[in-house]
Amino acid sequence: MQLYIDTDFKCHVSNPDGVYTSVETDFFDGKCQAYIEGYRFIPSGESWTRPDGEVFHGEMITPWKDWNELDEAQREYEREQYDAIEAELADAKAALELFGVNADE
Amino acid sequence: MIINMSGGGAPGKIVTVHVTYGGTVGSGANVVCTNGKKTFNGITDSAGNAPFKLTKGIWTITADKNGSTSTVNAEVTGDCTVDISLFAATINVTYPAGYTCTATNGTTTLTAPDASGKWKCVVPNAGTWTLTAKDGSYSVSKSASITKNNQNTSVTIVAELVIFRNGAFQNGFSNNKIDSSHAAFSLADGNLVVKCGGVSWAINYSLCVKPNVDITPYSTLKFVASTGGGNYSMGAGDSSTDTNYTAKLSYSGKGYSKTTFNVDVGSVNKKQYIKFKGYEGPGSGAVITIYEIVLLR
Repeated sequence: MQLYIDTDFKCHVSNPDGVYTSVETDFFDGKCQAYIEGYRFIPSGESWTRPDGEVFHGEMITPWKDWNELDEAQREYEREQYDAIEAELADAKAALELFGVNADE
Repeated sequence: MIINMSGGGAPGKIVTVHVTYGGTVGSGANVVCTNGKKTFNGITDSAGNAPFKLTKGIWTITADKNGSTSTVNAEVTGDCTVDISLFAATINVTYPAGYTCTATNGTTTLTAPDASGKWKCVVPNAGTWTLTAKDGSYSVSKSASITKNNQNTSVTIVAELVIFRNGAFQNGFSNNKIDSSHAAFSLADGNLVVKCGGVSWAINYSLCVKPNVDITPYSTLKFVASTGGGNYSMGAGDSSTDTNYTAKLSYSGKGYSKTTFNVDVGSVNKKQYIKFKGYEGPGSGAVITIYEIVLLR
């Protein structure tokens, strides 16, 4: 997955102004935008200094938002995905029944 | 025990109570002399002395200072000196600045006068004293053993949770291998070690610490390790049966001698398994050693 990081190493799923740095990782495969954008990605060879002065070296991937908020957003995203798939299946079943096909057989 | 005190002098004998505190002069000690009918109070001077004029007979004499107390029964028959030794030992406590700090032996609790991070704690009894530094709901403790009067010892309290250090898992943690690869961490040479030398297949090894631990009070997950030039990752994750991470540090292609690796976990406010995973190619000869795993506040 390609994503983007700003000067504070915070992740973004798009780069509308072209000022972010592009990075590649499979860490966020299957994750929604809100989850991804609650993380920091420090690339290998770079370092980030936390406000308390502690220095961290890349490659490090770690949440900067309370992970519980990110998890709630991801669960909501997955519920929406599930509901969308359920709706598609229901539509498909209805269409088949119009043609006299019993979708449950 | 009754101490016989005899000597010359006029009726109403001069009894000098001499107090030592922690093996040194016991100035400022409260002294009470009573024979059941009369009671006299005094405070020792800079030489540790408190003089009393007492009639002949049995007197119960008690001295106390800073919670340290001792009592003797003396039979006064003449001018005399009664020596009382009060127990005092010092625990020099260093704790995180801004925290409160207490010391307790289960009976007596003492409190540091400020949150400076330095406390010269004078205890009135021998025994095991538990020093606790507290910041809100977070607390961390260390113990000190006091065995003799005038003992002077130091304790440093660090806001950390030690998972592995000094050759042993601590605080109830243990090693649990995640996958069924060729190698696993074992305790050797006082540390966690995987030796990859002499094998013709690639080595996958993974360490998962059990049980999971609430990361919420901590901001940094620290590993001290030496590794080969393979692929490595370390951090915290939800499951004890896979190597997925909530927060992780990873690197590859470079070996490290004994190095500190830190992972920021300040926003991981939940229970996690601590993990370490590596891969070395066939016959790499690498020796991977973990010296420390610690959660820092």
